[in-house]
Amino acid sequence: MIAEYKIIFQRLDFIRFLATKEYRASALGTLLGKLWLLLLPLAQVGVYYFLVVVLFQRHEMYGNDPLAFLLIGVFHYAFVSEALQSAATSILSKERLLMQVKIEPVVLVATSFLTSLLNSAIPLALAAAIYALRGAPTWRLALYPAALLTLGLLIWALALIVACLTVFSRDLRHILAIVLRVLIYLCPVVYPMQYIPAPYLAEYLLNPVACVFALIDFTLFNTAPPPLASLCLLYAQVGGLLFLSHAVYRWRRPRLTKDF
Amino acid sequence: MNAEQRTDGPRIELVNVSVRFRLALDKARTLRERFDHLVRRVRYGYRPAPFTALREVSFAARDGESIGIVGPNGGGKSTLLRTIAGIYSPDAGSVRTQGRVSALLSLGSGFDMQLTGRDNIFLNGMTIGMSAREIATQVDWIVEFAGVGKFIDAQLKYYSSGMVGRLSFAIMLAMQPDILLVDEIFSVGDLAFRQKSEDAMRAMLGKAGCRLLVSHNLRLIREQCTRCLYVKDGRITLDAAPETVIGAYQRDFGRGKGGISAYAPISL
Repeated sequence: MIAEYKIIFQRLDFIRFLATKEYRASALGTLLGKLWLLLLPLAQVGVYYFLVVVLFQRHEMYGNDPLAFLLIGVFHYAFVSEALQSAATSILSKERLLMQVKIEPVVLVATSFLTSLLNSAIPLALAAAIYALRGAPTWRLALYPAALLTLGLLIWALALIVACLTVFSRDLRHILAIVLRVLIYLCPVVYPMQYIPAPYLAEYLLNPVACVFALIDFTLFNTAPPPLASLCLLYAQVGGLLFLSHAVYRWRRPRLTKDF
Repeated sequence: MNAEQRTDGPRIELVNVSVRFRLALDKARTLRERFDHLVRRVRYGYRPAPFTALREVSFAARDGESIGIVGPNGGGKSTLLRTIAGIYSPDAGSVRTQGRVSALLSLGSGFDMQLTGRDNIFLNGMTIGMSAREIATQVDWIVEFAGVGKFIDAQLKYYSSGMVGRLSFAIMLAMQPDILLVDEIFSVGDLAFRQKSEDAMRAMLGKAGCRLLVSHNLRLIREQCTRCLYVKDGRITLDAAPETVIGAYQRDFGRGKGGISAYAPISL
């Protein structure tokens, strides 16, 4: 595991360079440029707001501020979705480069992860600004960086697994797109965790992404924290997935360039 | 420059290296193909046989050596270069290289067509482990040598193939690697550029640690190499002076057998 991080650290210049270029290229030649990075999740928030708050009149389930809750949830989930989907093609799309020069594929996964972080920076900054203006920060806000780091580690582990396996089974990209569309409703992104009936809560929080979103909601809003057992399980899952992701990478690494 | 840091030990050392591939027919990239393979395996007892591109290859190269690699198509020459470059992992044996390795395996190696020429200079330099500062000192020379002038800040997709080739070549020369791996890319650019490349390449050879050159251009091998490997059926069947190896190659695949001739479209 350390060997891969050592390589990433040695190639930080390259990762930064490529991620910045890809970030700039994503908005190149479009009328609104980087605003598109904001408008797409914003449109999603608009749809949920209209459905839940305007049409079904269920704004009471969000507490004080449904808009801030939806913005925070959807913008964080947009990062999850983008990071995993771009990871799925991070090795495959660089086939030509990998066949011509020696680059550890993990460096390409790290580059796509960093690009996703850069792409999510504007939406997350907007969400932070809205939260600062309208939210009611408490001491829990101090735990937010830890919750965000947990989300980052979880998504990195999943991204590495997805990136390796997609080389060997191209169907995974399409399966992943479906999973991500379903996953948003299996996590407290557009509704708070309290909405889940108590008898099913433990099973619901077996999903590590749901648990980490519940943790983020707890740090930013006046929602209940996930039970201690679920939190312990979450950190065990994150550790396990990190270990598994590197095991998968090492297992598949020798064949990554041979199986294009 | 790295190339000036000489070493007493071998720059490249391969010990009993074997590289195997799954045949395209046996690769399963989709769930349906996986299912088909499973059915073939269960119903007909089919076991895919890997294709061995390199078989127990061993050799070492030291500073100052310029090694030509000849052999028939599909013999394993490019696989050998890619294994030394670290692109393919050996299935058996070990590969050890010492110093900065630069591989020019095709025109536009490692280029991203969406990026500008300038960005690609940095991209290429960084792929072989140079720092941004180190690359920045070489940019002006590369632009001038490649003759791309004002196009350096245009996206590479707008370059002609000749311009891409010249830029590749200029970057390779500027990076001054310890180990240089070149695969059949010498007919780059117009006549004036070829002459300029020839002079620069000769100058670089004096500084480069060691160089491996795959080519069917036997005159080039004769003129430029101090040693030659004959790679056939995934093995090094002969490792000797260029004249000896070329003789053996021509005997095996000479006129009437494989159409090998000693003509050279360019001489470097």
